[in-house]
Amino acid sequence: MRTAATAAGAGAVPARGLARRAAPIALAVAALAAAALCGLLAGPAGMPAGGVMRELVDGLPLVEMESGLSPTERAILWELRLPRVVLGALVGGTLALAGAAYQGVFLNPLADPYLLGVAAGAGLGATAAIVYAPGVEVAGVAVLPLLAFAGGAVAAAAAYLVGRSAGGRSATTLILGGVAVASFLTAVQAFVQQSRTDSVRDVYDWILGRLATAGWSDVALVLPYVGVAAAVILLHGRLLDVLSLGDEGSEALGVRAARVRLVLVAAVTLGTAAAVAVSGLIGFVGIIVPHAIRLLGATGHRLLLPLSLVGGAAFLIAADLVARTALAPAELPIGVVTAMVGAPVFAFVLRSSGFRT
Amino acid sequence: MSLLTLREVAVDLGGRPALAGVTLGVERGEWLALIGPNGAGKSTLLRALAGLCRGRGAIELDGAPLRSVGRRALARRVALVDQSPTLPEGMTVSDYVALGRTPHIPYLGREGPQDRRAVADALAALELGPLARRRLETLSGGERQRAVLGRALAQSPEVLLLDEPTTALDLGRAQLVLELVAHLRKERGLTVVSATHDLTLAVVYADRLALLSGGRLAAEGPAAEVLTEDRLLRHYGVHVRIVHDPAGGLAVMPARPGPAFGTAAGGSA
Repeated sequence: MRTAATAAGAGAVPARGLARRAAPIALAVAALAAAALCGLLAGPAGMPAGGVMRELVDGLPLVEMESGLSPTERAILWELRLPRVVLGALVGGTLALAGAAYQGVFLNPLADPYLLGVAAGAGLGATAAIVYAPGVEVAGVAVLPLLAFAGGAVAAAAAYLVGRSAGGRSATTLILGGVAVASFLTAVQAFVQQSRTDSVRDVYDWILGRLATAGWSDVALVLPYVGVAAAVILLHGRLLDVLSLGDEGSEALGVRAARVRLVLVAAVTLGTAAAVAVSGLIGFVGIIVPHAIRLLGATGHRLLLPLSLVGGAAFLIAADLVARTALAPAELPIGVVTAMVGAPVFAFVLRSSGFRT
Repeated sequence: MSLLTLREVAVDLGGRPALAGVTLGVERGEWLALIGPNGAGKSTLLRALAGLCRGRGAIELDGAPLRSVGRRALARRVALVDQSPTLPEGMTVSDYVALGRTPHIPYLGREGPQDRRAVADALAALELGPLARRRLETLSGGERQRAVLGRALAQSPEVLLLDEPTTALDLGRAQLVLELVAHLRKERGLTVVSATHDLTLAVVYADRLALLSGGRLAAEGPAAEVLTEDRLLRHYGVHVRIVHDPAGGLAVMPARPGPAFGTAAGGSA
């Protein structure tokens, strides 16, 4: 009987590695391509779909094709719509990937990329820039994203140090450190904002998130940071599975949980602070996308992480499409769109994730 | 030379001594059962052997101080099956067992053919093949324990540390798990150190018992020497009768205390 079971056991071992993950990832990439195409086609200036497709193909290296678009249409496509779609993809992908990573790092299904105070810190940096230095540039780069990035990074570092000073480097003390830092910085941000009432509207516009001013310079600004952050997080898929055994379970397998956590907190902070710096505070992407993917049946971080990256990119492009078109010609803040979808999903996750009696 | 050597090992937990002056050796291929009342230090001793808690004194693995063996290197040789291990929700049995390969894979590396073989082998050895795709939360208590053992086995360890591996199991499932451990031990030359409350099962499966009490080693040796009625009364505060059977085994039977202790009628009626 043992022999029979042995044979069956060996046969039942699922094929591991890329083969098992290729199909869902290909599907997600197709969804991303569809979302991107819709994002490029929709807008106040109606453009023929065929012309847009031909123009895009013409843009590929070594391919030449006459699109039939006018110079103005070409400019709208290449200088307005495409950078906005690309920026949406970068920001959405980063936030969803960062959320998935934090849910694993903190063993908390409701963790999001802003958990350690990145949003509060970036909010303070951006508010300070709007209130005290509106329109100021340093070396050709607007000071607002720089201050937002610095604020977010400093806040997460402070939360990490506060959490660590509580003794130990457990997930819980880090979260509590984040609570302390975020509350403090939010209060300071409100103080700065209220000190100059004439700029309150600008501050709110930023806080609600927007891709409206997206241009290639924004893309160029965030790409190095989100690229590095995404690479580091994606490489840690296997170790995030190990962390799910808890700190002691990880240590017993030779993995220093606190060290892995530090690396991932640094990567998430880098990517999130960069994303927030150019897009404002876009909420819920980091929670709803990874959970939707889990609900669709993805298990294991090596599948969850790449799917979150691609799914988050597709989701934010679609949300931006709604934000641009729902009340056209006016634009909804994209944070409003993601929260309107996100809050009910968040409630659903909360309901089904625990507190069962 | 013993595979594991403890010399004057002392560990404090939360300012209180959990282990004090424990000196003990475990031979290669031996099954040593740690017994003792709650809070005696059995789990702490296992955790110390797995390199999970710091203390004073010396622990050596094959003559090398445990502290000089790196964390990953130690995890390749010593596997701990915790009393209540975390079973991540949504994870499949085969993915869970595969986590046992962690110490054999570099930090950002991925599984190689050897790792996949070890996982398939562990699944087969514990007859987990039909359960490989099941999620952990859908398993019964006995199946869970087999999955946890499978993960430990995938570590390809020399030493298997088991913290109350049968506590949550009924008599039949408990025997099944211990039979599996005995079989694997023989097949792979494993050294086993297990903590248990079931003295009778400890006698059946272990070569030697070590009785811990209040963090100290109270007695060690063959079951027949360690398990005496006086000693169990002193350390567990329990009245028992030790019954020897003609085949050389022994059983620990609870007995009622009181004036009528030892008579067939018992009680005060």
